[in-house]
Amino acid sequence: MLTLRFLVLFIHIVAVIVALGGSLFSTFALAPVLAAELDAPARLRVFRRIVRRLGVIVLTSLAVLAVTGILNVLFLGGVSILLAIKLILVIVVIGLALYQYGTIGVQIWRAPGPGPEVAELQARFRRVGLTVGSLVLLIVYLSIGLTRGSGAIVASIR
Amino acid sequence: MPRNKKPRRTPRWMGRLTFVALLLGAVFTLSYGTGAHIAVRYLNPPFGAWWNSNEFAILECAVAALGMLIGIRIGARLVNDAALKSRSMVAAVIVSALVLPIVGRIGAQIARFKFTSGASANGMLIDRFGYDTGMFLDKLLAAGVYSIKIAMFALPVGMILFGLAIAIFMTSEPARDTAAATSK
Repeated sequence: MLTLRFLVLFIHIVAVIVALGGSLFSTFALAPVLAAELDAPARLRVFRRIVRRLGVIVLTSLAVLAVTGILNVLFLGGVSILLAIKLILVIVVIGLALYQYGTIGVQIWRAPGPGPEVAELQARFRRVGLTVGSLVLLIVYLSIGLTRGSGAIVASIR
Repeated sequence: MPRNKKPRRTPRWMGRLTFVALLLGAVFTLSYGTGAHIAVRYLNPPFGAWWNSNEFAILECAVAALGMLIGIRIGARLVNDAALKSRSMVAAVIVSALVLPIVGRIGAQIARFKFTSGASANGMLIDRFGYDTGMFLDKLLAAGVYSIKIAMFALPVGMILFGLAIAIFMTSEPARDTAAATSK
């Protein structure tokens, strides 16, 4: 039961849960509550701290995802068109996450104070976060197709 | 009237590193694909022998480095802050250099997997160019595809190393302005 392949797959799935869960929680639970309960300066202060912490969590879990994903390909022993599409989507997700935290997040972090520009940045941050979340869901769907679907890579090799 | 020069989007050293990786990757892919070590052996036998025994490892490392460098450059284009970008690029390149043998080896292993669709250019090339030229072109094509596959698998590794560097440098930046924002 406890093989290296299982361990790698377990870490891979945990990384997906952490990356996706964190983004969804901040977008759908935390951001609306912050907007309703806090005034603009306090909201910005809390949002900045969240951006930084979440940035570290999401980017680290994406790194774990990429490394364990490559190891999973080694264990599967084959490359299909579905896997190639998944790889391209992974590159897009990493790029979007970098843009979300490296550009928008840093701009929010360094903004002098609350204002319409910061509100626009926060809205854009959420939109990009949602796009990242949706793409990660699509990648999960493709992963299920790779291992369980009719075009399962293991079945097509044998 | 002096021309307004835009600031460089990529540092010069990064451009040079990418060029070196691209050049080495292209030379050793062509050398492996065409069996050029025979020509080198003809000119200098000991060097030709060394070339033959090492060309494949150099090919793997060069194209893996190229993939990672392109990944880092793509990542850097998505980050606006010049200081953060510069620090993260340096850190990501250093870590990339350290993990290059591992990434090259794993990428090479993955690149050996064939596409399960079963498509083959071998028959088509022999049909079109004859047996000898077709086989030669097939080997050249296989070497090229092999190199591209290694670079493609190294690319997300480079991007994510850059992302990790961004995450680390974001955390290390002091929280100097949050208090100012709230006191307004």
